[in-house]
Amino acid sequence: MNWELLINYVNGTCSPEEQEQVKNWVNEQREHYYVVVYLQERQKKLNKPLHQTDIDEEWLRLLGRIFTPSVTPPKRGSNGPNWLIGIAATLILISSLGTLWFLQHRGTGAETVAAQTVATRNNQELVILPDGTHVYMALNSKLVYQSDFGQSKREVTLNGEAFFDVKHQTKAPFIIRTINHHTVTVLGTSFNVYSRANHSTEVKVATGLVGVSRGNKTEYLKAGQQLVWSDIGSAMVRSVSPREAAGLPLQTLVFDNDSIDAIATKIERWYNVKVEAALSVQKYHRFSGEMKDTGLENLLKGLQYATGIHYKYKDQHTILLF
Amino acid sequence: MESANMPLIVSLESFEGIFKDNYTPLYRYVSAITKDEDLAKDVLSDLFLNLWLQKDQLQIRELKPYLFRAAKHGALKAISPRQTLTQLPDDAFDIPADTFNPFEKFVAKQSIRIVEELVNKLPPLRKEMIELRLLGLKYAEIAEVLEISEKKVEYNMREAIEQLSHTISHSGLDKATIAGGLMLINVFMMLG
Repeated sequence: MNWELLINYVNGTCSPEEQEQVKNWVNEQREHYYVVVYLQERQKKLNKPLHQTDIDEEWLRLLGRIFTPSVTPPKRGSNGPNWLIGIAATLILISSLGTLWFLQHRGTGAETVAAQTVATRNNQELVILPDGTHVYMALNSKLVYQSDFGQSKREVTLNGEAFFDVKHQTKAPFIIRTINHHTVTVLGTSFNVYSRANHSTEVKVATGLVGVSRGNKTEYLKAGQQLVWSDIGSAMVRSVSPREAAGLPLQTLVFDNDSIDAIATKIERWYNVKVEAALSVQKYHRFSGEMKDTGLENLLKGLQYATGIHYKYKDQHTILLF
Repeated sequence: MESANMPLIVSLESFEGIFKDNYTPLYRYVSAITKDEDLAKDVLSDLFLNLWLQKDQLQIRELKPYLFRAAKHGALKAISPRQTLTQLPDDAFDIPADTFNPFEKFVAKQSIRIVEELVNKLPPLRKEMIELRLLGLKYAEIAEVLEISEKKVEYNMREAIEQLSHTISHSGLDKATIAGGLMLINVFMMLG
């Protein structure tokens, strides 16, 4: 018997006549049968796919090694915002397999350590995690982490919106699990995550290079890009100004050629109110500008001054733009 | 395979494709040499890091043999950091003994186990060729991985099957061993 033929048979790459030939050989002697069975089993074992999560994890680790800079990039200019400097050693992996990890990790060890919870209602809050990572939380958001945070893993769970300025640690990725079962993994970068039930999940990157992975494919975001992940599961990359991404730590609402609906959404999210736009202003031209947060009332006045868009309270929690 | 002159790694996207398409077979191949899964992952991480860093200098004619060859060198270096091993250790590509549970081992898989043991006794080079073939590499690619001529690959593969068929037909695989295996399991069960 020709070895080549046997292996082609086992690999499933031989013609029907050749298959016949191998089958005859197998029937000749019981030993031949065992050889073929052995080869088939071995072939199956050798080609058994690794878990996709294992491959993704290794790919993430490799990206971390590729993009870890050996020198800190020098600062350019003095009045330019920090957010624009350099591509840091950073990446994010959002995996649609995140659910799987979530379930796996949730089951192990979580019972033995106490959970720390920080929840905001009507105030923004800055949380400094044990590793030095700064988390700027938006209103009505919840951040949960275990009391052993930082010892072997850096993991938090987010329901709501927060800006993360993650301390860089090549060995310990920073993992954010979201309410929508996305997993955001970073080594060190700064970015905004918005994730609420029944809403698209958004990641806006202020500094760093970002890889966003879904199954077998990773999309790359640089500082100034955002990923919008609709709740039906489609992902889209758009540009976003790094200053807008860093709105929470800058305490500034950033409008960038925004439509009236986009403006309404930003105000809604920032102040946790309901904002409606009347039909009369729907086709209003777009607005760009920055407004430091000095309270909702001041913001609405400023907006009215800058754009001519009027506002009134429909009720205590609903504002109408017209 | 025909696209010999195409630049292989032009972007991070194509690099990711190369990584993810080849990771599993390379991982199996490397862990068969290192016998250590974490070490195998480190070897592959180094390999791909170097591949990315040197992508503009490397002249790679064919990717797959290159990857396997580099993986092998990496694996050998990892298991013998001091002296540079060029020879495979004797137990490379051996099938781990604990693949089957004891019951399966003695009864259902007994005959297959014997074939496995016979394969384990083949010279490492021949085992390696069989593994690479089962991983889907062609003779020409194996020759490149092992840095020997294609003729040598063909010769060794022929010899391997000769050796195997010879020992198998002299092992009395069918009758005696199975009976022996069954008897053993009976003894164990009585003792237990």
